[in-house]
Amino acid sequence: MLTVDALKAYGANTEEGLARCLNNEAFYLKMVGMMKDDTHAQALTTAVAEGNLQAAFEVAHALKGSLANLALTPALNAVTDILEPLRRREERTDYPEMAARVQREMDRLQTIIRG
Amino acid sequence: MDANYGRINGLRRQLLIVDDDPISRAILGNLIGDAYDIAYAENGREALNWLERASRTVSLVLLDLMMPVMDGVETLKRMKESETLRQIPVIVLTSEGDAEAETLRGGATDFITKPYKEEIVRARIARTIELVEDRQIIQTVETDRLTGLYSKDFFFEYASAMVEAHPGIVMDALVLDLDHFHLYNEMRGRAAGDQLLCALGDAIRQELSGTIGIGCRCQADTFFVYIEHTDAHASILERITARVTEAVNGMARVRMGVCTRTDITSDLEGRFDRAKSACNRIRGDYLHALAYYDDSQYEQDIHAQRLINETKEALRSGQFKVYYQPKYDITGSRPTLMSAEALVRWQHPEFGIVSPGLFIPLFEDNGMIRALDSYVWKTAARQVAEWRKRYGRVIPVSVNVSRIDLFDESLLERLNNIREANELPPEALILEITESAYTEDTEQAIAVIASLRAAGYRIEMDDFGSGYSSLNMLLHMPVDALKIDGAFMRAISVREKDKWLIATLVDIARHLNVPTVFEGVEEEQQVSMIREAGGQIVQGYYFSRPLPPEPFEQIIEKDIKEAEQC
Repeated sequence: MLTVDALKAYGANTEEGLARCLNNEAFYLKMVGMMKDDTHAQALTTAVAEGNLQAAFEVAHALKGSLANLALTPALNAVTDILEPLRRREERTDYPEMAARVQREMDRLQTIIRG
Repeated sequence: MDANYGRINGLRRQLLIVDDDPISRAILGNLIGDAYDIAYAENGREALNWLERASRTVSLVLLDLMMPVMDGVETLKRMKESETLRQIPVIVLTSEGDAEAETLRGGATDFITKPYKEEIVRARIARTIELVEDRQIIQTVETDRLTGLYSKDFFFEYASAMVEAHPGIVMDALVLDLDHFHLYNEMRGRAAGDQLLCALGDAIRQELSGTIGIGCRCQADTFFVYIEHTDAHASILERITARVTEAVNGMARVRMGVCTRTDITSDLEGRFDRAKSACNRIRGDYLHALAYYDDSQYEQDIHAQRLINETKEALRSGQFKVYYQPKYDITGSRPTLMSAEALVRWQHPEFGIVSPGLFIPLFEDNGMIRALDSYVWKTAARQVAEWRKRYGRVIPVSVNVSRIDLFDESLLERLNNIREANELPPEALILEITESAYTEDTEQAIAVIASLRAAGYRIEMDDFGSGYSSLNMLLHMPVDALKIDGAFMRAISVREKDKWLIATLVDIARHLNVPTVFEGVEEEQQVSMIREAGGQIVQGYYFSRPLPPEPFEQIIEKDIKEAEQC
């Protein structure tokens, strides 16, 4: 069962995330729980592999919104790192690597959520 | 935080959150759901569909930018293009670095950045709703919806600010009014009336264009203009009249009252009161369409206002005295007392006797005439009852029924109550109704007068000959006597043509099967002339001036004595 402590151990800024949910722990955990089957990381990996920077940007942007609001810091940092060069449509060779990092952090998060 | 923060005037506002991310939607909804009713949409298209149905009830849209199907920028663009949606404020939800500037240029009212910070979210939403609603209220009350000119309150607000901002500039207060606007409205319809008002509003706006002056529609067909001092008021009026006449394709008479800056004794509103007073002075005066407020009018106005203010106290403390002027039947061998007319006098503690010619028009204007009429009716009825008790005969007294009384649904009841309280038959009170009441409000007047007659009251048409009764109209008038206007008596002499005039008036009455009452008769020759012409009843100084009850009793006693001798 997902707990605030588990998220804290994951590296989430749970204090900030809870505050955004008016300190309603059940609501916060419910929101985080909605990330359980999130597929944005996979979509990001695919878009980057295809060289579709626009699609990659949109996916990263969407994912960042949820992660930021819930203060899920490790995944948030990973997606922020790839989002900024994507916003500028920079041609880079390390996108697959950065996408893989996002995928790893999301996998870690989803493992915690699934308990 | 106080859960009432989102309530303005106690109302819970409705907001729409548009965001494709369910987590962001839910978190934002949770942040503000205690204070607002929240609706959700996943993309711009869904939002527009919902807004079309709820455009009148929604207070704010919180709009994410990056969404599938229709993004925020496109949604905002379509809202601003829509007549019904463009007034709804939009706050854009953005991540740092997104296109805040672009969306603000596109019509967004504000933006909130993600991730959300509770206090900022709440404060920006509350402030935006308040500002937009305040602006809408100001727009609603600032201008007159029909003409687009300022409303009265804002006019005075801005005019005062203008005075303060330009203390050296000399300004004039102008009041413009349309003659017989209510008739224009009735005859041509409300839409045509509105068109006329708009035409006058437009003409004023044109006149003010390029000046520092401002204008407003004060009420109905009265417009105020505050304009830099000029001596060319006549030209202004001419131009405005020409524009109005052209716009409505017909005759519309605009009149204008002016209070110039030479009058510095009163405040801004006072100066417009004075300009209005000047404007009222020339109502119906076809020779003058422009009038200036001056000192003599100021004195008159102050005097009139004092009288108006003191009316209630005067009624309460019995300052109004009822006098009686006898009416004599001159058809027999000797004049016999037939009836009397009750005439009111105001015994003012400071001014002495105030002429009815001065206070009656004031009371007719402000509606106090109804209270005064009732007072006179009651006093007269009590007097008739007292004389009946003392002399064993009913001496009918005629009382005035003002035009305004004819529109009072309780008129008959008021009269009956007074009569019954004194146990008098209806014939004891004769009702004098001025000719102009018949001619100006024909249908209403005839219906009411017919009902009074049906209840047994006798009606005298007062001031006959001063108005414009057509002979044809007279045939259908419910009337029991024609009372010839006193002006006829003052004007005539014993010349042949005057005799002919009197004979004609008597003839008209004969055709209507009613007697004539001549008032203002002062000389014996006039009585002879009336008698020769076949006139029946005479009232005037020749027999007696109006008298208080006690001296009048001597007249009754004299009549009784003469009757006994005969």
